[in-house]
Formats: sequence, structure tokens, C-alpha cells
Amino acid sequence: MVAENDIRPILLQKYMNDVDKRNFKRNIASLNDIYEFITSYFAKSDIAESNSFSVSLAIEEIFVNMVKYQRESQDDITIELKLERNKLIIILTGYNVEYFDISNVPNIDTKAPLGERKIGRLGLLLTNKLMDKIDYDYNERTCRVTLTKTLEE
Amino acid sequence: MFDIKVDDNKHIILSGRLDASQVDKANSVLNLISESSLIDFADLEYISSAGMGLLLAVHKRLSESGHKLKLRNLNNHINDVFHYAGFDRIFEIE
Repeated sequence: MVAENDIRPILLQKYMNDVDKRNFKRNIASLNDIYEFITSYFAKSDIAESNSFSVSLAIEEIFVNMVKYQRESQDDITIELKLERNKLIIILTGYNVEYFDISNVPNIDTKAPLGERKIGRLGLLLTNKLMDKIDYDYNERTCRVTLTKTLEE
Repeated sequence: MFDIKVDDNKHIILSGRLDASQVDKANSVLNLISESSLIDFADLEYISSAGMGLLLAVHKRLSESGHKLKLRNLNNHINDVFHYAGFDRIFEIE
């Protein structure tokens, strides 16, 4: 029995509204479903639309990186979104994969002339620019990339 | 939904979201360009590194024959990521 002045159910409901987790097929074609997942989360959590570009881009870059470079795995990738005050925490988890710390990849030279510019590694550079930080954890063939983003009002 | 068209002035018009899943569609048009061209971003909401990498590859290919890509009407978000990537040093942006 819940007392009339007990606000715990309300807080629990609020918390549950601000956490969402979903599995996506390890395929580039999942990007549209991922965008819909992000859009739906933004709407129900009242997150300003101005944050959508940077969050979509960072999630795409990490997801695509996992799809392209963790070819040993066929398992789905889990994406979790949660709000902690004014910060959005984004966690991408890959299962049955080798160790590869994407938070520790050297940046490309963005001042190089056209003839010397490389096509690759641009996504990680942009993710670093758009997120506050990127953390990488690896344990028992499971990798977890955590992105933290301070949200604009 | 991403789309790419060539208008009557031979300008390339991008619209929607150019993510990694749409790069082949973009490439099917951009691969046919053999001389300097203008790409209009007015209706493009989003681009990720996959699309940016494609533009860089096309620009590099054209530069080998003295041609280039010119870009216009980038929204603020796209302008920011182009700046972070140093693309504003490489492309002529209106």
C-alpha cells in the first residue's frame, strides 16, 4: 500500500521515462531505426531539438565503427540513453567482440592540404568534438562505449 | 529520407539525412561528375562522416583534373562539423 504523500512512484515513473534501451541489428541499415529511437527519446524526455544533430552523429559514428570493425560478432548492439540532470549519457554495448579502444585513436590532421587528407577516422574526430567525453570499457568479450553530452537548453 | 537530384542548372541538390546507409545512393550521382560542380545543402538536415568522406573523395578526384566542388547553404550544424573536420579549408563554401 502506497501512502498518499509518497512521491516515490512519481519519481520512479519520471526516472523510467528518462531511461531507454534497445537492441539493433549489427547492420548499417539499422541507422534509420536508431534515428527513430533517438527522436522518440528526445520527445518523451523534452530534450531540445538543437541537441539532436550532435547526438545522432555521435551514435551513428560509434555504431558504424562497431559494425565495420567488429566483424567477428553477429550479435545485436545495445544502445541505452539516460538523462542525468542536464547531461545525456549514451551507452553502446557490443557483445562477443575483440578489444579495440576507440577512445584512444589518434586524431587526423585537419589542417593537411587536400592531396594529403585521409578519408578515414573522421567520425571519431567529430564524436570527440561533439561529446564532452568518450569512455571505453572491455570485459569478457563485451565492449561498452559511454558518451557524455551536456545538453543545450 | 535522403535524396539527391541534379537540377536544370546542373546544380546538385541534397535533401534529408545523409547517413552511412545513404552513401551508395549519393555516390551513384556524385560518381558521374567529371567537372566543377555546385552542391546545394539548403534542404540537407544532417550529414555524418560517411557522407563527408564521400564529398572529400569526389573533391580529390576532381582536383586531379583541375576541377572542384563548391558547396552552399550549409545549416549551422553542418557548418560546425565541416569546420571541426577542416573542410572549410578544403572546400569553397558560400
